[in-house]
Amino acid sequence: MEQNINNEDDYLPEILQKYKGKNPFLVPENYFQHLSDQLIAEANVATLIQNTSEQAVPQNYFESFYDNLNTTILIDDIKSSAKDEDFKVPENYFDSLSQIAY
Amino acid sequence: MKQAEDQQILDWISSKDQKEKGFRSLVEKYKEKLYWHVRRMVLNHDDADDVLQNTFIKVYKSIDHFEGKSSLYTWLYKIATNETLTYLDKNKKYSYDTMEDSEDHPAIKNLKTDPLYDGDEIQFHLERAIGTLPDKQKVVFKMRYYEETPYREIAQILDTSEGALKASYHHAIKKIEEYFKTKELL
Repeated sequence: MEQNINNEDDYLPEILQKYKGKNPFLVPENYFQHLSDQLIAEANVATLIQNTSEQAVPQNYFESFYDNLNTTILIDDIKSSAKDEDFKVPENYFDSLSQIAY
Repeated sequence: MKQAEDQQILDWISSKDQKEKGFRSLVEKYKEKLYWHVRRMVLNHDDADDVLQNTFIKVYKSIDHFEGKSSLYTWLYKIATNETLTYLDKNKKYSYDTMEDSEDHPAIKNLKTDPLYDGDEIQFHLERAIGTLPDKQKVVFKMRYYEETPYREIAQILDTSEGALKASYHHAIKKIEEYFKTKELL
Protein backbone atom coordinates (compact mmCIF):
# COMPACT_ATOMS: atom_id res chain seq x y z
CA MET A 1 0.00 0.00 0.00
CA GLU A 2 2.86 2.37 0.87
CA GLN A 3 4.24 1.85 -2.63
CA ASN A 4 0.83 2.59 -4.12
CA ILE A 5 0.51 5.75 -2.07
CA ASN A 6 3.92 6.97 -3.19
CA ASN A 7 2.98 6.43 -6.84
CA GLU A 8 -0.52 7.74 -6.53
CA ASP A 9 -1.20 8.10 -10.23
CA ASP A 10 -0.79 4.32 -10.54
CA TYR A 11 -3.92 3.66 -8.53
CA LEU A 12 -5.87 6.55 -10.02
CA PRO A 13 -8.62 5.05 -12.22
CA GLU A 14 -8.07 5.71 -15.90
CA ILE A 15 -11.00 8.09 -16.07
CA LEU A 16 -9.58 10.21 -13.23
CA GLN A 17 -6.14 10.20 -14.84
CA LYS A 18 -7.72 11.65 -17.97
CA TYR A 19 -9.26 14.59 -16.11
CA LYS A 20 -6.48 15.25 -13.63
CA GLY A 21 -5.62 18.94 -13.39
CA LYS A 22 -8.33 19.94 -15.89
CA ASN A 23 -10.29 22.98 -14.82
CA PRO A 24 -13.94 23.15 -15.91
CA PHE A 25 -14.58 26.50 -14.22
CA LEU A 26 -14.62 29.87 -15.96
CA VAL A 27 -14.55 33.45 -14.67
CA PRO A 28 -16.37 36.53 -15.99
CA GLU A 29 -14.51 38.46 -18.67
CA ASN A 30 -11.72 40.71 -17.29
CA TYR A 31 -12.47 39.49 -13.77
CA PHE A 32 -8.82 39.24 -12.73
CA GLN A 33 -7.96 42.59 -14.31
CA HIS A 34 -10.16 44.50 -11.84
CA LEU A 35 -9.79 42.12 -8.93
CA SER A 36 -6.81 43.82 -7.26
CA ASP A 37 -8.53 47.21 -7.05
CA GLN A 38 -11.71 45.58 -5.79
CA LEU A 39 -9.92 43.54 -3.10
CA ILE A 40 -7.83 46.49 -1.92
CA ALA A 41 -10.89 48.74 -1.75
CA GLU A 42 -12.81 46.10 0.24
CA ALA A 43 -9.92 45.68 2.66
CA ASN A 44 -9.66 49.45 3.16
CA VAL A 45 -13.40 49.81 3.74
CA ALA A 46 -13.45 46.90 6.22
CA THR A 47 -10.54 48.44 8.13
CA LEU A 48 -12.23 51.84 8.12
CA ILE A 49 -15.48 50.35 9.45
CA GLN A 50 -13.58 48.49 12.15
CA ASN A 51 -11.71 51.64 13.20
CA THR A 52 -14.88 53.71 13.18
CA SER A 53 -16.82 51.25 15.31
CA GLU A 54 -13.87 50.89 17.69
CA GLN A 55 -13.76 54.67 18.13
CA ALA A 56 -17.51 55.20 18.36
CA VAL A 57 -17.55 55.19 22.18
CA PRO A 58 -14.74 55.67 24.69
CA GLN A 59 -13.26 52.60 26.31
CA ASN A 60 -15.53 51.08 29.03
CA TYR A 61 -18.22 53.61 28.14
CA PHE A 62 -21.10 51.17 28.48
CA GLU A 63 -19.69 49.41 31.56
CA SER A 64 -19.67 52.65 33.55
CA PHE A 65 -22.73 54.16 31.89
CA TYR A 66 -25.19 53.51 34.76
CA ASP A 67 -22.88 54.91 37.44
CA ASN A 68 -22.08 57.95 35.33
CA LEU A 69 -25.76 58.59 34.69
CA ASN A 70 -26.63 58.40 38.39
CA THR A 71 -23.80 60.76 39.26
CA THR A 72 -24.95 63.24 36.62
CA ILE A 73 -28.54 63.15 37.93
CA LEU A 74 -27.34 63.63 41.50
CA ILE A 75 -25.15 66.60 40.56
CA ASP A 76 -28.03 68.12 38.61
CA ASP A 77 -30.37 67.73 41.62
CA ILE A 78 -27.86 69.35 43.95
CA LYS A 79 -27.36 72.26 41.56
CA SER A 80 -31.11 72.82 41.20
CA SER A 81 -31.81 72.79 44.91
CA ALA A 82 -28.82 75.02 45.61
CA LYS A 83 -30.09 77.48 43.00
CA ASP A 84 -33.58 77.58 44.61
CA GLU A 85 -32.16 78.17 48.06
CA ASP A 86 -29.55 80.73 47.08
CA PHE A 87 -31.88 83.01 45.20
CA LYS A 88 -34.97 83.05 47.37
CA VAL A 89 -36.44 86.54 47.87
CA PRO A 90 -38.53 87.78 50.81
CA GLU A 91 -42.26 87.24 50.59
CA ASN A 92 -44.06 89.92 48.48
CA TYR A 93 -40.67 91.43 47.59
CA PHE A 94 -41.53 92.08 43.97
CA ASP A 95 -44.97 93.52 44.85
CA SER A 96 -43.41 96.14 47.01
CA LEU A 97 -40.34 96.72 44.86
CA SER A 98 -41.79 99.54 42.74
CA GLN A 99 -42.99 101.43 45.83
CA ILE A 100 -39.53 101.26 47.41
CA ALA A 101 -37.94 102.61 44.23
CA TYR A 102 -40.11 105.70 44.30
CA MET B 1 4.44 43.04 -14.56
CA LYS B 2 7.23 41.22 -12.72
CA GLN B 3 6.05 39.86 -9.41
CA ALA B 4 7.87 40.87 -6.28
CA GLU B 5 9.57 38.32 -4.03
CA ASP B 6 7.71 37.50 -0.82
CA GLN B 7 10.44 39.01 1.35
CA GLN B 8 10.32 42.24 -0.64
CA ILE B 9 6.54 42.34 -0.19
CA LEU B 10 6.89 41.82 3.56
CA ASP B 11 9.56 44.53 3.77
CA TRP B 12 7.26 46.99 2.04
CA ILE B 13 4.34 46.05 4.27
CA SER B 14 6.38 46.53 7.43
CA SER B 15 7.48 49.99 6.31
CA LYS B 16 4.85 52.57 7.23
CA ASP B 17 4.93 54.56 4.00
CA GLN B 18 5.06 51.54 1.68
CA LYS B 19 2.39 49.35 3.26
CA GLU B 20 -0.12 50.02 0.47
CA LYS B 21 2.45 49.18 -2.18
CA GLY B 22 3.29 45.97 -0.35
CA PHE B 23 -0.32 44.92 0.03
CA ARG B 24 -1.03 45.64 -3.63
CA SER B 25 1.94 43.50 -4.66
CA LEU B 26 0.72 40.70 -2.40
CA VAL B 27 -2.76 40.86 -3.94
CA GLU B 28 -1.32 40.93 -7.47
CA LYS B 29 0.85 37.92 -6.78
CA TYR B 30 -1.64 35.67 -5.02
CA LYS B 31 -5.15 36.70 -6.13
CA GLU B 32 -5.48 34.15 -8.96
CA LYS B 33 -3.92 31.24 -7.09
CA LEU B 34 -6.12 31.82 -4.07
CA TYR B 35 -9.19 32.40 -6.22
CA TRP B 36 -8.83 28.99 -7.88
CA HIS B 37 -8.07 27.33 -4.58
CA VAL B 38 -11.34 28.71 -3.19
CA ARG B 39 -13.39 28.30 -6.36
CA ARG B 40 -12.66 24.59 -6.65
CA MET B 41 -14.11 24.16 -3.18
CA VAL B 42 -17.19 26.39 -3.34
CA LEU B 43 -17.85 25.76 -7.07
CA ASN B 44 -19.78 28.97 -7.70
CA HIS B 45 -18.01 32.14 -8.87
CA ASP B 46 -19.94 34.59 -6.67
CA ASP B 47 -19.30 32.50 -3.57
CA ALA B 48 -15.61 32.28 -4.47
CA ASP B 49 -15.51 36.05 -4.92
CA ASP B 50 -17.04 36.54 -1.43
CA VAL B 51 -14.62 34.13 0.23
CA LEU B 52 -11.67 35.70 -1.56
CA GLN B 53 -12.69 39.15 -0.31
CA ASN B 54 -13.00 37.86 3.25
CA THR B 55 -9.61 36.23 2.89
CA PHE B 56 -7.85 39.40 1.80
CA ILE B 57 -9.64 41.50 4.42
CA LYS B 58 -8.33 39.10 7.06
CA VAL B 59 -4.86 39.21 5.50
CA TYR B 60 -4.86 43.02 5.46
CA LYS B 61 -5.93 43.24 9.08
CA SER B 62 -3.46 40.67 10.37
CA ILE B 63 -0.42 41.05 8.09
CA ASP B 64 1.32 43.23 10.71
CA HIS B 65 1.26 40.23 13.04
CA PHE B 66 2.72 37.81 10.48
CA GLU B 67 5.71 36.36 12.30
CA GLY B 68 7.32 34.50 9.43
CA LYS B 69 7.03 31.12 11.17
CA SER B 70 5.76 29.72 7.87
CA SER B 71 6.20 31.02 4.34
CA LEU B 72 3.92 33.81 3.20
CA TYR B 73 2.41 31.38 0.67
CA THR B 74 1.52 28.84 3.38
CA TRP B 75 0.10 31.55 5.65
CA LEU B 76 -2.13 32.90 2.86
CA TYR B 77 -3.35 29.45 1.84
CA LYS B 78 -4.10 28.66 5.47
CA ILE B 79 -6.27 31.77 5.79
CA ALA B 80 -8.01 31.08 2.46
CA THR B 81 -8.64 27.45 3.41
CA ASN B 82 -10.02 28.38 6.83
CA GLU B 83 -12.24 31.04 5.28
CA THR B 84 -13.49 28.50 2.73
CA LEU B 85 -14.22 25.85 5.35
CA THR B 86 -16.00 28.42 7.55
CA TYR B 87 -18.04 29.54 4.57
CA LEU B 88 -18.99 25.99 3.65
CA ASP B 89 -19.92 25.30 7.24
CA LYS B 90 -22.08 28.42 7.46
CA ASN B 91 -23.74 27.70 4.15
CA LYS B 92 -24.53 24.06 4.70
CA LYS B 93 -25.88 23.92 1.19
CA TYR B 94 -22.64 22.29 0.01
CA SER B 95 -22.48 19.38 2.38
CA TYR B 96 -24.44 16.22 2.27
CA ASP B 97 -24.01 12.83 3.80
CA THR B 98 -24.76 10.37 1.06
CA MET B 99 -24.40 10.09 -2.66
CA GLU B 100 -28.18 10.02 -2.96
CA ASP B 101 -28.40 13.40 -1.20
CA SER B 102 -25.83 14.82 -3.58
CA GLU B 103 -27.99 14.02 -6.59
CA ASP B 104 -30.38 16.88 -5.88
CA HIS B 105 -28.01 19.19 -4.13
CA PRO B 106 -28.38 22.82 -5.33
CA ALA B 107 -24.63 23.47 -5.53
CA ILE B 108 -24.21 20.52 -7.87
CA LYS B 109 -27.50 20.94 -9.72
CA ASN B 110 -26.72 24.61 -10.40
CA LEU B 111 -23.48 23.65 -12.13
CA LYS B 112 -25.44 22.37 -15.11
CA THR B 113 -26.96 25.78 -15.75
CA ASP B 114 -24.02 27.85 -14.54
CA PRO B 115 -22.63 29.80 -17.54
CA LEU B 116 -19.26 29.86 -15.77
CA TYR B 117 -19.01 26.07 -15.71
CA ASP B 118 -17.76 24.24 -18.77
CA GLY B 119 -17.45 20.68 -17.53
CA ASP B 120 -18.63 17.63 -19.44
CA GLU B 121 -20.78 14.80 -18.02
CA ILE B 122 -17.82 13.02 -16.41
CA GLN B 123 -16.57 16.21 -14.74
CA PHE B 124 -20.09 16.85 -13.50
CA HIS B 125 -20.18 13.39 -11.92
CA LEU B 126 -16.71 13.94 -10.52
CA GLU B 127 -17.95 17.05 -8.67
CA ARG B 128 -20.89 15.03 -7.40
CA ALA B 129 -18.59 12.35 -6.07
CA ILE B 130 -16.22 14.90 -4.50
CA GLY B 131 -19.26 16.49 -2.88
CA THR B 132 -19.78 13.38 -0.81
CA LEU B 133 -16.35 13.68 0.82
CA PRO B 134 -15.88 15.38 4.20
CA ASP B 135 -14.78 19.01 3.75
CA LYS B 136 -11.15 18.52 4.82
CA GLN B 137 -10.77 15.45 2.62
CA LYS B 138 -12.23 17.52 -0.19
CA VAL B 139 -9.48 20.12 0.34
CA VAL B 140 -6.79 17.43 0.25
CA PHE B 141 -8.21 15.82 -2.86
CA LYS B 142 -8.64 19.07 -4.75
CA MET B 143 -5.18 20.37 -3.85
CA ARG B 144 -3.56 17.16 -5.06
CA TYR B 145 -5.76 16.32 -7.99
CA TYR B 146 -6.25 19.77 -9.51
CA GLU B 147 -3.37 21.85 -8.19
CA GLU B 148 -0.77 19.08 -7.67
CA THR B 149 0.28 20.79 -4.46
CA PRO B 150 3.10 18.83 -2.78
CA TYR B 151 2.04 16.94 0.36
CA ARG B 152 4.65 18.88 2.35
CA GLU B 153 2.85 22.13 1.59
CA ILE B 154 -0.65 20.74 2.20
CA ALA B 155 0.61 19.39 5.53
CA GLN B 156 1.73 22.87 6.56
CA ILE B 157 -1.52 24.47 5.43
CA LEU B 158 -3.76 21.93 7.19
CA ASP B 159 -1.48 21.36 10.18
CA THR B 160 -1.35 17.63 9.68
CA SER B 161 1.18 14.94 8.75
CA GLU B 162 2.11 14.00 5.20
CA GLY B 163 1.29 10.38 5.98
CA ALA B 164 -2.24 11.25 7.07
CA LEU B 165 -2.71 13.31 3.91
CA LYS B 166 -1.54 10.49 1.62
CA ALA B 167 -3.98 8.13 3.31
CA SER B 168 -6.76 10.71 3.06
CA TYR B 169 -6.12 11.22 -0.66
CA HIS B 170 -6.04 7.49 -1.23
CA HIS B 171 -9.38 7.03 0.59
CA ALA B 172 -10.90 9.91 -1.37
CA ILE B 173 -9.95 8.24 -4.65
CA LYS B 174 -11.43 4.94 -3.48
CA LYS B 175 -14.72 6.67 -2.61
CA ILE B 176 -14.81 8.47 -5.95
CA GLU B 177 -14.02 5.24 -7.77
CA GLU B 178 -16.87 3.57 -5.91
CA TYR B 179 -19.22 6.35 -7.00
CA PHE B 180 -18.21 5.94 -10.64
CA LYS B 181 -18.71 2.17 -10.38
CA THR B 182 -22.23 2.55 -8.98
CA LYS B 183 -23.02 4.94 -11.84
CA GLU B 184 -21.47 2.45 -14.26
CA LEU B 185 -19.13 5.11 -15.56
CA LEU B 186 -15.97 3.03 -15.15
